[in-house]
Amino acid sequence: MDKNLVLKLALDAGETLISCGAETYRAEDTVVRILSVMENSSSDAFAIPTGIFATITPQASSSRTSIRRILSRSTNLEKIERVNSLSRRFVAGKISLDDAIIEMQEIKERKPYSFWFKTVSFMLTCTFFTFLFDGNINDALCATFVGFIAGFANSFMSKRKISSFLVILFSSMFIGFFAKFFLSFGIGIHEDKIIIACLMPLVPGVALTNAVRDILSGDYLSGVARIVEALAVAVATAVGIGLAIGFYTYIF
Amino acid sequence: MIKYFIIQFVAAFFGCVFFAATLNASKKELTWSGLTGAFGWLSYCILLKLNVSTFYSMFLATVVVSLISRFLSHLRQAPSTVFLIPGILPLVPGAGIYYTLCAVLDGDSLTGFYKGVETFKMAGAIALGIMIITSLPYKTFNFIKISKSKKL
Repeated sequence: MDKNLVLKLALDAGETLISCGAETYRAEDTVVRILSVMENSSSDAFAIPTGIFATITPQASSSRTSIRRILSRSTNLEKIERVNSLSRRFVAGKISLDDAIIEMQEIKERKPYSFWFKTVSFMLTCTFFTFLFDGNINDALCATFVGFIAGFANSFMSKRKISSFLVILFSSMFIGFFAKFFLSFGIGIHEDKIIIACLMPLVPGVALTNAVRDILSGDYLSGVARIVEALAVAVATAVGIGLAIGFYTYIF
Repeated sequence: MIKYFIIQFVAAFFGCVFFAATLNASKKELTWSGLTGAFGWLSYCILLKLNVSTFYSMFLATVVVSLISRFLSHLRQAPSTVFLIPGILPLVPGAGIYYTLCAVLDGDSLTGFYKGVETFKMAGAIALGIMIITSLPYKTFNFIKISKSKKL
């Protein structure tokens, strides 16, 4: 097997995992496992949320190291699952290197769910979460409208590669403003329940979960980075809602 | 009472399913993500009704979610992240963030501080719950044998 091709496959897998929101431990583990297919050589990998390094040292020849910089990250659970299954099958020897490289390319180019599917999912998340915070049917209806607008804004901005901090800031601004707006027409009763329900898809649950898992597996650098991310997201939602409510009370 | 629990369970199930869809979970795992979240939220509601403090309810509910997702990870041969991230969402203290903000905006710093600390406590409970279950070895969860053909 060509060490360059194996290294390319390993780094492609690691890069996809990190940019789709997997834990650092999983990315490093996957890269090392794929590289371990090369016989008579040692290998190492190091990953942080913004980049990944891997090196392979065959006993007979010189070592080779490669770096990938990861610029954008967005959670995509399907890709994590597919890369995971691909790497397991490759390491178990069930598919050849060439097939694995072709499949890896397919995974990388896989389109996420369509714009409207994501918008409607966001909207329905808001609807159902209203009931979890003891809202009634009226509140759920209002949350549906607000969720649709926020989901639309969220998908629209995410698609145009705007930084995730701004996406969350603007989405929560829309939530605060339109929740107040629909309430003034008498749709919905409890303002707080509607806003909280619509805020739930934006709160930093992913960042918090990954931060804990990173710190636990000893990746303190990534763990701290993700805690900062969770704090930044929480601040963005709070500032967005605050700005919108202030703006609304100012103009009406 | 039973009716209340059923409504909470169903709402949490659909909420988590659609949230998993916004995170691009593959279609065959959506139902499982929803079930993880629904059981986590149901245990949180039941614990609160039994007058357990919010911190411990949150902690135990997170333990339930993590256990289910580790178990499903073995059963479905998928990374546990796929079930854990959507499943944990109903427990994340979004309400805490909002009430902290409202108090601060009203100029009521004392309530704001109180709510802020409360929110951090909740986040801590979630972190603790995930930590304990994640550090268990994989062997704990493979008591059900799966067929060779399904295994990757």
